[in-house]
Amino acid sequence: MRRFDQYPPESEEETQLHAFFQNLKNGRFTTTRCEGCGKVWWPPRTICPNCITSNLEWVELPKNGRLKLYTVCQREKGVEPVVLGIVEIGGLHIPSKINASIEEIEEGMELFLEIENLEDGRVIYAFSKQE
Amino acid sequence: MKAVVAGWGMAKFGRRRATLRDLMSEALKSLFENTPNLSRDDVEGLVVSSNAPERSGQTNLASLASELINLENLKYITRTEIACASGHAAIRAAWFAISAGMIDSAIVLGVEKMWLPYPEAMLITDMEREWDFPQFWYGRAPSGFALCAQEHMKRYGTTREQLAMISVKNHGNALLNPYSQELRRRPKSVEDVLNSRPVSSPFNLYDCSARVDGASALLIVGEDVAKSYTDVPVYLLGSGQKAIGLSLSVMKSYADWHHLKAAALDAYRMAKIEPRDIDVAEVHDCFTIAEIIEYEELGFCKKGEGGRLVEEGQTFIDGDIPVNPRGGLIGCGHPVGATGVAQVVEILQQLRCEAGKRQIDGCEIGLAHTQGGIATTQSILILGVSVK
Ligand SMILES: [Zn+2]
Repeated sequence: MRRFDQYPPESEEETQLHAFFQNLKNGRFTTTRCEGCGKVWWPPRTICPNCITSNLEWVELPKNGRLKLYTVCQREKGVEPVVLGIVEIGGLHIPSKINASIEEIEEGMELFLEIENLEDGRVIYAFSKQE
Repeated sequence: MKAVVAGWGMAKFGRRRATLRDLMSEALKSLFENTPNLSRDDVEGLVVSSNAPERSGQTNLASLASELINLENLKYITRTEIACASGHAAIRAAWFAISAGMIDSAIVLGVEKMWLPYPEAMLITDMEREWDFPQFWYGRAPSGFALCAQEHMKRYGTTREQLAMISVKNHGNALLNPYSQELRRRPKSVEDVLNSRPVSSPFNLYDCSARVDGASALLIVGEDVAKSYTDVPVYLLGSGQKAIGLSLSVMKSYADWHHLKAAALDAYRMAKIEPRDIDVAEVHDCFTIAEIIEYEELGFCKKGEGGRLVEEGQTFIDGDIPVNPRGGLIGCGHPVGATGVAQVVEILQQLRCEAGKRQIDGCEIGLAHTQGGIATTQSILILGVSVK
């Protein structure tokens, strides 16, 4: 049996938000901004939820933000705990894994985007303490 | 046409050696046993609530359920799904169909099969591939609600001990409920909760509701035929629902659930009551913090004082506003599609004075609350023995 895919679809064949992942591969952290109402949305969209139009442009987000909230997650016994949190960037709440040790993690700390390469060529993002 | 909840059925919650068929059959049999005048020829509607029967490799559950009790006079059949609030969606669907005059009676059946012998089954419901966050499989519900707890503790001074008291209360109540999950150990004190293994800070194991199998059923009928089935008609008086989306990023605040407050106002207005009129409540305690925030948004106390409400003992069975006398999700276990229906079973039993050792004196108005996702979808039902 084929294992259920744990990661989001990224290819042009699978998603109209392909550009987000392509930009991420090129080191750019982007999302969509509505040209009609000006709102910057997270996560990126194919239509503006306010205007219900497709007049969206890709805009670059800062690659650093502040840790608004976090939790140390250990869902199973014997697995390394993982820090998950909400990173605030330009007023957006961006949920993410935080690559930081439990000793150094702190609310309000500055965090930097980290791009992680998956074995099959896809990319995902996380945030860490080091730039 | 006013709608009356006129009968209940329950299957035992827990890690059951049973399929979806078995669980649904058990709850339906219980409903017919508890409602002596109910004949299967009377049943015109069948609404099944299930979050993910796909786990068992099965969809179209309402059709399967109709086969189990050979319903030959069905006019309306469907399944509802809004995650953990699926049960309320089913009750509302039956209510609306009766109010619209389409049918006179409906069975609402909630069911979930969560324990299956292959790990892929759990993955199906742990996946949120259309969510807003690429490492979703790590945390999901425990971590999402843990973030709410972190913000609530910081903003309002809610303590770790107050969270633990929710668990102690609900586990204690579940011991009085014959349909709750069986556990070898239950926390009896705040220390027991704090000493259980960490799950997602600030939560330990006993702050979390467990995934279990289960089924629950209700008979909902029009007011004019209710007296055939019950001497104490329990009316559906009011309801409210709100959704602000699915993703964690849509929440502006994690400690303040304004959309729950708005849904509650709609429900109170429709029922023509105030929060202080509530005699008993069943709320969605998927994690301990949820119950505390719900006290506040439902108007049982001021914003920020939910922790104090449980600390003062006011939400225990003998308190001023008893909450989750059934044992809640934490005490009973959480078979997702069955939970919202089981809450209303408890309200029905309390209002009909059939709740045995859990009975709260003088119950006339009860409230049930569920939510789907990380608190982004909210649903409230208000029931009462008389119409205001
Ligand atoms: Zn717009």
